[in-house]
Amino acid sequence: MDRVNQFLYHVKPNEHVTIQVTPSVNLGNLYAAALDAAPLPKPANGRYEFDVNFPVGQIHFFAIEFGFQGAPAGAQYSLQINGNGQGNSGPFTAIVVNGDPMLRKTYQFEVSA
Amino acid sequence: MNGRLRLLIAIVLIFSLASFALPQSSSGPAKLAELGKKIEQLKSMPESNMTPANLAIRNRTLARLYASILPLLDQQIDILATIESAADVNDKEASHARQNLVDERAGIQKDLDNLKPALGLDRSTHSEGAGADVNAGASAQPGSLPGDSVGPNNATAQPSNNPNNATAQPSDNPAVTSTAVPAVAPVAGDCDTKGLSPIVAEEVKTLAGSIVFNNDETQITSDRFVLVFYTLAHALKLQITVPVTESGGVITMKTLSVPDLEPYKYLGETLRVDKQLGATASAASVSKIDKPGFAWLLGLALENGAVEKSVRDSVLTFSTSPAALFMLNHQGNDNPYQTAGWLNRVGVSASFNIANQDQLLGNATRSQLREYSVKFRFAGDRNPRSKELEKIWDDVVPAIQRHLVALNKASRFMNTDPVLNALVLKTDKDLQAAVKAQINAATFSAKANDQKVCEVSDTILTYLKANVATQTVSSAARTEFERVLLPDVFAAQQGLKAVRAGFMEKIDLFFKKPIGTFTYTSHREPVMGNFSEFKVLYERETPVIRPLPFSTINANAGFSFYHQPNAALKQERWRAFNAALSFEGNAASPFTETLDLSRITYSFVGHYDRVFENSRIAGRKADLASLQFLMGVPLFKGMGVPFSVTYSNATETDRRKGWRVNFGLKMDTDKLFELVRAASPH
Repeated sequence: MDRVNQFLYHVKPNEHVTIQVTPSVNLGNLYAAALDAAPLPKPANGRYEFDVNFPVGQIHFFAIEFGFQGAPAGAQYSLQINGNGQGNSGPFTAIVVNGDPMLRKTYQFEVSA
Repeated sequence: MNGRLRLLIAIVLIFSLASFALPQSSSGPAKLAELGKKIEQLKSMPESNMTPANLAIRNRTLARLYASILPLLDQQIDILATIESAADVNDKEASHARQNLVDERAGIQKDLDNLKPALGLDRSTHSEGAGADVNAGASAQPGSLPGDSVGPNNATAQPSNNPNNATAQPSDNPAVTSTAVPAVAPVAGDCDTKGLSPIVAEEVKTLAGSIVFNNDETQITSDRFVLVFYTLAHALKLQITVPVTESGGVITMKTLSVPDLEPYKYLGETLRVDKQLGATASAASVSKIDKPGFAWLLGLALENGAVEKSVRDSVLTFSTSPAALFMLNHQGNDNPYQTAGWLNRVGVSASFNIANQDQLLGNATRSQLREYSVKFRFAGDRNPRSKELEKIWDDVVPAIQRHLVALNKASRFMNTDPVLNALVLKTDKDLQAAVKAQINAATFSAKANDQKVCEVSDTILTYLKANVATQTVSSAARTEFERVLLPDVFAAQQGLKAVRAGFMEKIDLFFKKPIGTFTYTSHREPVMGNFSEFKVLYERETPVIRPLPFSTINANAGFSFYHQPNAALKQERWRAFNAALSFEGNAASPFTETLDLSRITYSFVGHYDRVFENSRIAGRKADLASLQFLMGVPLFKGMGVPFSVTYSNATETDRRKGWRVNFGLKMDTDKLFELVRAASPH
């Protein structure tokens, strides 16, 4: 896995991708996610996983929407994104901070040879 | 205190109360009707009889009335939405009433928008100078964005001369500049929509807000497929036929166009959290009552460590909870807060007198210790990590996921269409370059936050209008957009809308649950001697003493005893018994800035103390009672004016009864820090 920017990653065919969502200690597990056309059940440990199975050039869309009900300024969700393909440069960290008006983030995993 | 002064204070007190009570009594339906009547009166005035100057005055007055009535209509729409969500599925009375009100609101908004250009009240007037340099940094002129060396129709992958291609016809000339938007310029919040549909404009404004908040143009990548999807749907003038529930529960198919689609509203937005930490009411605070919400509060600000530091007046307070330490050590677990058990019911804090303002942490010494306390929450839990709040959220997760899936499907469709995918890639690249140049310009950081958001929004919308809305798409793509993708997105948004009212109501109830704590506080008093105090604190959110706008009851009761009674000071083991009751409320502040959501707070506090040693000292009263009106008015940049009027039958050291007035200027450093950070590019 290589990172282009915090929302775009290049992944290898069949690579296993993990996205660990960790809320700060002042925040609950208020998020909902979908991978491509499938809603994803919220994992107990906050770790989403999937295998890359699209052909080269296509993109897996991991969309996640966050909630910040009752959270103070500075509360944040941390996402650790990692792969296991050859030459993997991960893990990478992405942060979503309370106050960001765009609560839906779409992390895109483009399959490259 | 002489009679005149008493009279003056009484007038101030009555005026202060009236100022809160009056808006309450004249808000809502009465105010709505009053404004409606005035608007009709002004609209019916024959313009032919007016001089141009008077016509302008009439129009400006009308614009102000429109602006005043819109939030009241929103309020009524929300009320009807709540009723609608509670009504039987076949009961459409509330639904119809709400729709009528929505239509009425749309008409007023349109009238207001019509007035704005004539009055020079469009977006560019909101911030001084915004109109002049709105496109500074990166040109917002179509076709002249950095990285966009080709004309508006020169996307890197142009469709071939395919006879099946359908041309997307934007509603406006793509070559127009920002000055040539239609005379009726709809607005998304305060920003210009550039003639694009609300669903596009609001998406872009939210994205622009995110870019400004994070100082990060790569946020565009997250939203790039959705931006292009909505823009093309607008430009293609798509009509979608979707099921709509009519009166009597009959579901009929209705045809809607893209401009009819409502912008998406996130369910996960933050609720404002007000906190009270630090010294007890008797210490540096002017308030005579303590708040019980410690454990939840302690958990709130532990982002930078397990201990929270707060400064209030001349007192420095550190506070923590064993749960915080537990949670830090169990971050990998499924919500460690919920497994922390009784630990999340306990909080500890220590307060120190500030002797050295330059080195705050240096005040945390034994000699400066003012008090320390241990608290146990016995009732209620408003923590954002509680199981109950997570359950409320989880109940709406399927609706959110349906929306995410609908957008993912649209994104995936475009990703697998070579023409559309190329368009998305070019849009992402060009917009990132343009926005990066814009937000990195030297003049940009000095601008107000709202202005920054609108300028970035302008850049994105102008680009989309000129370079995306003008693109051609295949007829197959158009069919897919119209028959599958857009209806799916619309249906998902309808689903979210249906659960929104119920969700917001549950969240509101959650944060208004009663909360109670036991508190032990050890006070360090160099003159009178150290003493310990036990208290029960209880808070309940409920409308009280209507029609006065009080919404919260706080009750305290407790007793204290000396560690080492000093006979010379007539002390015995028992020091005092005390009880307090307060009624509190708040109102919107007309003085605060956009980023500061602080409200005017006000309360009535009744307080009783039985100070046992005073019964043994001549010239003092053992039974002390007081009634206090307390008000805090936030001004700007974390500054505020606290004001209190107190009547007491005596003080601890003086048996004379009388009135006291306290007021001053106060700076909330925590809030100031938050405001500076919110306005900061980083």
